[in-house]
Amino acid sequence: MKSSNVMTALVDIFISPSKAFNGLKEAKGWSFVAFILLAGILAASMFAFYNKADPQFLIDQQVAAASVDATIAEQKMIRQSMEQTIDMQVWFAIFGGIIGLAVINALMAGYYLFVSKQDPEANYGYGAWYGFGVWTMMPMIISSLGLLILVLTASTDQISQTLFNYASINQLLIGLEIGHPFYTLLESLNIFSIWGIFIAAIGLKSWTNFTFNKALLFAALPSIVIYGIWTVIALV
Amino acid sequence: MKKAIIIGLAVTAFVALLISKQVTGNKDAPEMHIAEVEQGNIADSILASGNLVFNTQVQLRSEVTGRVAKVFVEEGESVTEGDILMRLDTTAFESEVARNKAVLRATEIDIKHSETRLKNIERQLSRQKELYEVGLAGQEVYENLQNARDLAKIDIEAKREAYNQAQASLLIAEDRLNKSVFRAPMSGLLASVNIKEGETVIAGTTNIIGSDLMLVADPSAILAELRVDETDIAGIKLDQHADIYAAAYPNQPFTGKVINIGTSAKNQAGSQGLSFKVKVLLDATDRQLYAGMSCRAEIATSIAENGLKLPIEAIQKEDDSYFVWKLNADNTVTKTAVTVGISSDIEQALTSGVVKGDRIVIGPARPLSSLKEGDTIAVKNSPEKGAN
Repeated sequence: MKSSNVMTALVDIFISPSKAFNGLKEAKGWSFVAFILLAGILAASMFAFYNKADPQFLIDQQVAAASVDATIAEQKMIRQSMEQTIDMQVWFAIFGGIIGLAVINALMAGYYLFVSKQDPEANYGYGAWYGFGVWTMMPMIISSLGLLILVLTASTDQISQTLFNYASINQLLIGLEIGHPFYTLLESLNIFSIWGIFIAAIGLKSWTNFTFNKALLFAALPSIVIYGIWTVIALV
Repeated sequence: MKKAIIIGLAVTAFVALLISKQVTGNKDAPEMHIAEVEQGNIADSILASGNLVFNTQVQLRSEVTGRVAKVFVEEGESVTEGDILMRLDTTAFESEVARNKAVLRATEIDIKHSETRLKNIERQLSRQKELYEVGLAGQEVYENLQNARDLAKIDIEAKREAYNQAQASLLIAEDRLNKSVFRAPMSGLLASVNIKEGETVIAGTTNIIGSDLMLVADPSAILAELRVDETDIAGIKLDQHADIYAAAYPNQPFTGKVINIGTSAKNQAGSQGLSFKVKVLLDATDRQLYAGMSCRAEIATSIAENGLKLPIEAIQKEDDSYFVWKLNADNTVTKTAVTVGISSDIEQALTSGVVKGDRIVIGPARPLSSLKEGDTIAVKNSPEKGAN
């Protein structure tokens, strides 16, 4: 079973990812559509956020986050530098986010290419794996749509940047305060990235002859390594 | 079918997540403490520590060196002026007097001897003069006698001065004999007696301070000698009111007035800072105080009488101007500029901007610092310290 066109693939990636990946094998061009859609929704949610948020409130939040141990004079300096750049932040967020996606996906594509060599029958090129990577990031569309809805329904302009991580493990389950060693780690780990790992596992299984467990291990390995190192750093 | 249920559940969960995370703004107004602007006095004060001393006290020291023969008093005894307190062994001083008297008598005898010799020479001279005038005696013998007479006169003058010298020595010896007996210089209490019979007292010299013998003090007036830091000294004036807390009565202050302010800063042993000595005369009290007790003092440097005041935490500062958050009837707050007067550790006097009875937000500090014009707050009851 495979998706027949890019539109069905964009739905299938969420409800039955293996169909989407089967279709993708023969139609690599779909990935462009997926990337543009992803980038567009990401940009729309960022724009909506910065357009609505009270800049002064954002500065207050960021100064508080950046200056947990700072003196009053240092806080003042941080505040001044932020006030100069606050108008630019929306563009940093949009283009930084899209370029960041492209760069991270480039690394992931290399990684997928490397692990696919474990299966002698799988011979997809780097470009194919790059497209594969884009599809594994599709849960970010849901995440960005959620953010967009939260921003548009907010009844105040006092919205904080922690809203970006509304689906993080920290905000959903743990609730650590800012400044805690594990705060940033748990804020960045969210249910959409976990969903992405499962999609990648299903995709790997579909494109190679790996068992599901092996595919899941390979899909999760980068996150396990990154968060493992992060945990060690946070503990030290 | 099963898949549809899972998808349905996931969508529901996502919607629930979005609803739970919805940003609703300040749905609950921050709970804040309120204080009313009150009218009253504020005293700004300076803290200092020091010791209690007697207002009038005389430290007895010795001018002569000698062994103590007898101490007639004990510590704590009351004495009246002129009472004999102690006596040194006077043997040496008495013999010194006797020796000087003898020297004096010897010089007296010397003078008499010289006078007799002068009379004899004058007699010889008048006889020789008669013989010389009639040419029976030589000129040389006559002039020799004249010379001898002049010398005898000078000799008598020298002896007289030696007599005066001996008399002065006698006076000194007698004075030292007198000083070996110590008398009370004033009526009062013997605050300390640091000498015992048999000990040797040393006279003070340029570099050596003489032995401490006794301290006679007037116990009716007690001073607090305070060490006031140089940064605070400008606020201290004569006649300022001070509350003195002696270590023995930590909660019941003694009252007093500043009567003396040191004019030069002294380096305090064991600290880097310089301090001035400020004397506070304590008002008469029934409670027993002892000299040397340590004490601390609050000196009221300025008093704002019957002015408007607020707890100090209510006052906010923005650049160089001060403001408070005034609570309106509808529980919104308004930023109100004020001018401030003097402050104590807990209260701030206000000279304009508010009227008596205005309700002002005083805390907690974190929400207070993030208040905005027109924000609604909830009044939290009974802050532990109000504006009283």
